[in-house]
Amino acid sequence: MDLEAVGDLILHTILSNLTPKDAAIAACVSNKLKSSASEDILWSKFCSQELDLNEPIDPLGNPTPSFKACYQAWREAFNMYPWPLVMRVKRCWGRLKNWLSINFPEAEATLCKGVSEVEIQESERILKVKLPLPTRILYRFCDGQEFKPERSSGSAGGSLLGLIGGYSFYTHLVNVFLLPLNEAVLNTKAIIRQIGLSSRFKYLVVAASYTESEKFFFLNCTTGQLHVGTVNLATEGEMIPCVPNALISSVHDSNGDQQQDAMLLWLEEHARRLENGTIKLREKGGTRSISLFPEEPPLCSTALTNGVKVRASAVFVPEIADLQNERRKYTFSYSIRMSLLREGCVINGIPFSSCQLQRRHWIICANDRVESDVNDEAVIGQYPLLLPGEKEFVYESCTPLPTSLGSVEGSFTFVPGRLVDPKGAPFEVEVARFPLQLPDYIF
Amino acid sequence: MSSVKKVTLKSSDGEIFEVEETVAMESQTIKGLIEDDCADNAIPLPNVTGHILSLVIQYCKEHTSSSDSNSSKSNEKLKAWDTQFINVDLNVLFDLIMAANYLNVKGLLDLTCQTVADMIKEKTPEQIRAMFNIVNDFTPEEEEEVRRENAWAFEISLKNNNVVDTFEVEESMAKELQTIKNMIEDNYTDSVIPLHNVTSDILELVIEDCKKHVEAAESESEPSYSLASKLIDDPLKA
Repeated sequence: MDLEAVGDLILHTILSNLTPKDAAIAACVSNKLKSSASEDILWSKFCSQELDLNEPIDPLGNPTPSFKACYQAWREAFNMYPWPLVMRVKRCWGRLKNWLSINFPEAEATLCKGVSEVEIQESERILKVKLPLPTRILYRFCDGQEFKPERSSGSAGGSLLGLIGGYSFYTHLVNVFLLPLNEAVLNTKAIIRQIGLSSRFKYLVVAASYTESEKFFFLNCTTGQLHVGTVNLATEGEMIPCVPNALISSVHDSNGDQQQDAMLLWLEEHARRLENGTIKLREKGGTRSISLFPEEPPLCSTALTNGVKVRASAVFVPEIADLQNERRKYTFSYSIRMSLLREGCVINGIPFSSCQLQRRHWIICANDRVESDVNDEAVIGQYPLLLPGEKEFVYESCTPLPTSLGSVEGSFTFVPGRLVDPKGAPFEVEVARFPLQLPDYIF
Repeated sequence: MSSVKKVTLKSSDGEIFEVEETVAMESQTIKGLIEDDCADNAIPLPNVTGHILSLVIQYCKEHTSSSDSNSSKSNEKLKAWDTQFINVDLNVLFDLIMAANYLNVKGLLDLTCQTVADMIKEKTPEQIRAMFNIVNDFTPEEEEEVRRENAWAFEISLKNNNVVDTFEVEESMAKELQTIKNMIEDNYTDSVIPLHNVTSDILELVIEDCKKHVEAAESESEPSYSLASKLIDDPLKA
């Protein structure tokens, strides 16, 4: 009986059933096994399975002479972390980058190369914190986004490339970027000084909006939870947790294999939502950005009346929420999108080539109790005219809510034709109920 | 009522086996011979002994009847049978590998290779050599080189490299350690004091000890210093 005499093909079959680690150890047994276990076809399989690599490229982006050398380079570059966690983080960034390269390449271009271990240690030294393991690895793979304020006048394009995205209503506009580590450190020091937080606070500002409206995300390095500042951030340091607490575990334990902190969970959830279309890109004024208004049921409602389609959804706005004010404890922004089908506006079989909004009837409920019931002209001061098959007319507004759960529904009064030249009697268009709900993941 | 077609197989040591055609065709090699009409007489299999051939036939019988739509054998039961079947000594296992390869019985080849792989898993090179009677034919230089190339696989010793643990301690406590007292008095304020020769766990014990020797500091605003221990690089030192 001789393992070395079974023939190369069989030996290869046996070795392909091993993990990369065991194959590498087998290579240290004898010359024959070394030769077999070093076959690059074996390591190209490992690189593909574990690192999603089809070319032998090392962590710095340089080509290596073989897949075996490639795998070795990756293991050595990350030998201070549990390997399953490294693979998980790589997969997470892979999903995000993949979505961006297909849908939002201008944002992908802002992503920075990962930082080194030395840079992480330096940042930890300056802030006197110890970053949770998953976050460290996240920064090793990608150091946030570079932000370059657009020089061209009036164009806000540069500040809408945030990976996390945002929303706007009235004059409030946010779009959240992931900060590079050194930016994060600077922002953290500035905010701590500004708010007067004791330096015992082990927070790192990991994400923020570069717009006039402020929105800051803080990673608590001790607990691994992510928090977002409310309207009382500057005065009281008030924040809301962004990720279900129960999911966070072992963030500083390098011996386990279940480590997950809020940053990792948050980004994985974000990748999921982008991939399944829950949130999408929005184009406004020639500029694209990731919009956090849900696009799919059950959070987004759709109704069709006489050819007029109305879609509606809401997003929680933590940065203007006020946990100390009963009435404004939770704030939501909602986006209403209306359009006219190609067939036009059809009422009792009679088609009309346009219709125009005249009034709105809006009911907002908190926990099934009516908070406000408004019957008034226009929407945000406008009377949108709908033409068949055209792009949706979209408007946003906001509402405070005393509870974490509520709903909005209502109807619009439209006239066929135009307001100045109605072609028939006004008709009601339904806005199907959509929820106002404090989400489990806050972005 | 159809009569079952049989084929005759002859092992290297002259043993004769009469096997149903469907069972024999689990071997792609034999299937080929039958389809090429070379199977009227006994098929000689000079590379397989009687003992091994009987085992292969057993395997084929079990796995043919399971692909029969009338059979009620579940996947789980088949797996359990496989596990018991393959529980043989290493010599037999290797003979089965060679036979499965020669006779081209895919399922058996997969099963036997997986079994050998399972034996290699999680073992050190020394243990693998012992188990399979393999001679270490590396020169000392060659062995060092291959170990270095694959050092990442010998994980435990490398994992703790570059990991720095910091400990925050009260000044009065830190001063219990004469070395650190000198550093403080030399004005190392605001920075992390590196202790290159002390591991995390030892440092923890030392700090615990100092705590016991110091009275609690009166004022809260006592400056605290961070001591950083760097774990020893060389994995061979304990």
